Amino acid sequence: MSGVGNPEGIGSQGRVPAPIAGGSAEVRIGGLGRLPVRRFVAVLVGIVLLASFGCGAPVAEFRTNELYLIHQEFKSEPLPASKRRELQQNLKDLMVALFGTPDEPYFPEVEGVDIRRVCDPVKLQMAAGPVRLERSGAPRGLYREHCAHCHGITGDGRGPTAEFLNPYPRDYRRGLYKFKSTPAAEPPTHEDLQRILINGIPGTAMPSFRLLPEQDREALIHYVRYLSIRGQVERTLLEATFQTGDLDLTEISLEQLKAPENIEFVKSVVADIVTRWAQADYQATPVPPPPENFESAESIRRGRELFYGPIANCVKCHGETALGDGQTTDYDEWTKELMPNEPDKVARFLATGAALPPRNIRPRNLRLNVFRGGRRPVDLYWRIRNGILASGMPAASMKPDDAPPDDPRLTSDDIWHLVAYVRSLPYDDLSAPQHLPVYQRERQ
Amino acid sequence: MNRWAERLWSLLFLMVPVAGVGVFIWAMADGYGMRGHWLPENIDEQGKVIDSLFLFILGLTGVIFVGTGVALFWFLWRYGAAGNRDARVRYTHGSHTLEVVWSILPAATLLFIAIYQMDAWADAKIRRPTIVVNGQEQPKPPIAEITGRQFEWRIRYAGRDGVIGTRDDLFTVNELHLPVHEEIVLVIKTEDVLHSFFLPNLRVKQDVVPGMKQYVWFKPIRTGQYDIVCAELCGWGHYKMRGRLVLQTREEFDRWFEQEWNNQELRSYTPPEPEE
Amino acid sequence: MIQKSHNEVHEGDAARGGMTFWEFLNTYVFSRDHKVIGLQFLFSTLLWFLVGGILALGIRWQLAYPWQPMPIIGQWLFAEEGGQISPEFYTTLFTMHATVMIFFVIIPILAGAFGNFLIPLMIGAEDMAFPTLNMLSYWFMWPAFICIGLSFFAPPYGAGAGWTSYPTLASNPAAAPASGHAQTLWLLGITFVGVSSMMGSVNYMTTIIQMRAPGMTMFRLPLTIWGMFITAILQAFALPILTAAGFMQLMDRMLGTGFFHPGTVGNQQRGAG
Repeated sequence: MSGVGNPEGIGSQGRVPAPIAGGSAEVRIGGLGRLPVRRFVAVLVGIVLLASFGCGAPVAEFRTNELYLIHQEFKSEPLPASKRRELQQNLKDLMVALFGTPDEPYFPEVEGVDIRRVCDPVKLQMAAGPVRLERSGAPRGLYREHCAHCHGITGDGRGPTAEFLNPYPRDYRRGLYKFKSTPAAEPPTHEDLQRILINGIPGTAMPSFRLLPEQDREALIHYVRYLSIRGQVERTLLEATFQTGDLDLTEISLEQLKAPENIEFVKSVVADIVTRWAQADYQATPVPPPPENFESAESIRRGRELFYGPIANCVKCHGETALGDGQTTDYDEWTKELMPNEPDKVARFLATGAALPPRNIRPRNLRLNVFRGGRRPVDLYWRIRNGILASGMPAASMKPDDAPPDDPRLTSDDIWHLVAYVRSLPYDDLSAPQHLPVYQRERQ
Repeated sequence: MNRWAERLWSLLFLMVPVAGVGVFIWAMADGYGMRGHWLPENIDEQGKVIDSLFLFILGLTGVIFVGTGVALFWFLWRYGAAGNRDARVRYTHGSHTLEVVWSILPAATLLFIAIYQMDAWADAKIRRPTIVVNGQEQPKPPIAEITGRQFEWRIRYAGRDGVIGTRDDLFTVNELHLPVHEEIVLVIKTEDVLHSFFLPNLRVKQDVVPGMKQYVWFKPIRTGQYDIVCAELCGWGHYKMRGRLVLQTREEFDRWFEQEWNNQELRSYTPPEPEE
Repeated sequence: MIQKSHNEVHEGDAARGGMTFWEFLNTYVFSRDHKVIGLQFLFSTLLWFLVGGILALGIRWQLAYPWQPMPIIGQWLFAEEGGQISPEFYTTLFTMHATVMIFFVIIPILAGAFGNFLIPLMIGAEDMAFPTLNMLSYWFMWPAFICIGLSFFAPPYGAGAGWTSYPTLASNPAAAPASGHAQTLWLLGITFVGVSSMMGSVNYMTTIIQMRAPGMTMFRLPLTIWGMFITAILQAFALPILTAAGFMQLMDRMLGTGFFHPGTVGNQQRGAG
């Protein structure tokens, strides 16, 4: 408060109010000159003008996958700083050449794939770039309007809102999705992504986008696929540099890439990934109709047996009472990449600013009547049948058709019974005895 | 200050009540630039009660507003210094009668409003519609439960048995379908923080408090699509927390319900064949 | 400022108006003089007025150009979103704008600055009834300034639960975006503001009732003083309750109490993430 002792230069009026009579203490605000008001106004006007012309508006760009780079360094060996810079620059150049920028996305042609089914350029245009309306009324920048503040402009799940959410927003760049109809390692189908956008993911911060016009949602789905494919290509290129040695990006700049064998390699990487996405729709696991007695008392009893049994062994993670308290110390695939059990390595990842502090993945509490991936019987069937690879939930071990009858592995009917049991849990009285405690079970 | 400047200023102050009233009339007339700024379309049977209360209070305060504005103008116009240089000031110690009058009058008006609106309040918040079961009158059970959560409205219909919390409940989100021409009762809850369930067209607004069940009821009289919004700051996504209210005839509603139910119970799936 | 007669004038202290360091500290910094305190309030709040105004500029800018990249600071703060501001930053902007304007400008400037400056002068009193309490009421603002200032630097970079701080948005650490430390700092700050205002109001009431000059009856008081008097009464009655409520929120956040949380503390589903 130097202003009190020495008010020179502080004040807003040139005119000093007449001293108020008040005994001996006389008030005098000394030396209050006229402030350079004009200059002040000029600065204000300047700020307003800058604001209105959008001067200083940043050019949006995709972030390089710094985390995976560090991960690779930990796995092989750290690069010297100069090589690292080289690698980052070359990777960035190559990615821009392949996929463009957030304002002008570009999707490479792949032989034998109709890219309009995977990443339609028209739809990408709708979702990309800054938020605005075309003269025709067509929206632009849908991704930045609806998604980017959580999922980040790169799709790395690291938007400004991300750190306040639990669970964290999804990082699209691995191409891994949790709630889908395809087998664990496959990309999700178009329908899967549609369903998530329409219903949201209850129990997480992912809201429903049911009120958006359908074509807006479509554009977003195509853009999310674009971000995933872009991220996967970037990861594969990093792997090629560090592990397989097919393409050493610490050496090869964009110019040198034009050598035919390099172009061929990059092309094959892109083609592999895009083809998998293009095929995803046909990879969905078929769901046979449930057995006759589905959801009968008998069916639920059988499901419960399996729940606690050694093959399905749901109890291991979801807990004795299905409250999701079986094990609580695991991490999901995305977090595992941050090497969460090694504090010094985690610190290195966090120092980039691109990672969020690791959190344990929690098995679902099955009694809340909240089903993140959907509550339809088919959804639950897929969850149990295919597992949720990314979160550590394994796929059910299915009995092959030619297996002997005493093979303990699961049939599709068994999975349906499990579905029946899971669907009965929210309506089940928690205080009723669930099952014998572990220490008694052995003796029976 | 000369006389003309005084006149100018007093006219300027006169513009306050004039422009104020003008803006309201322009909005009511749906005039250019003010489209959709007046009350949203009322589709509730009892909505006009709320609207008339609103208009009554608006009229009352409007009269006071105009009166004060005009009085201010008149004093400025009549008693400006430039025009009254030789007038002598009369000192007064106030008027007891006047003070009593201006204390009692607003108090009586407020009391009148308080009593006058009681019936509307009771209809909106206390007298829940009833049904007669086995010759006994009891509160009508809610057709659906709305749960606000950051940042969406999760909806759970009672299903065929009319009871919420059973296995035949239908779950949906952000899109509330309801039949028209029926007394609708909804139960409103929240999962996390304060929200406020607001149906502007039905003149329904109810805060949702964690740990409390609130009931709202209304009787829509028109089909169509209307807004559901959150009217209480509930976090960063407050602006996103919108829903759609779809009012349908009973047959359409039942058909929709059936379809949604079948979808919720989907039990088999065959993936499409690749087109070669 | 306040001209006091000093018998000793140290030559080396000429620059400070002929005071020793300690005299200076007593006269201008930890002053018990109502006018100095009034000016201290005035100038501190004017600084905050500037902060509040800048925040208002941010709000208005967002409303004028929704979804557009924010000039100058956008690139710096929101690179991950293409430079446009994030939703929780907007709630932070208006929460902190309102907080600063109400708790650091309107209340301290009207009650703290004008009250202190004018009440003794207008009722013919020498000073306030409790000069030390008066000094403390100013200096209790400083922890508040610091807490709320710091809350700009703790995620989500300013409190975001509205200046009304409604529970459970403000008290539930799992409710975004009140989940960061900013809300905790905010509540701490507001507790200090509450204490400061209570000290002030006690002083105003006592001074107005007890220290009027002979002949200055209650009904001869200037209208301004009546206004201050009523304000002080309102402050003395309302603030303890509000401060206690804020403190209860603080306990809900930090000590795991459940004043505002029905059933369990926190959100089961969020917590189960």
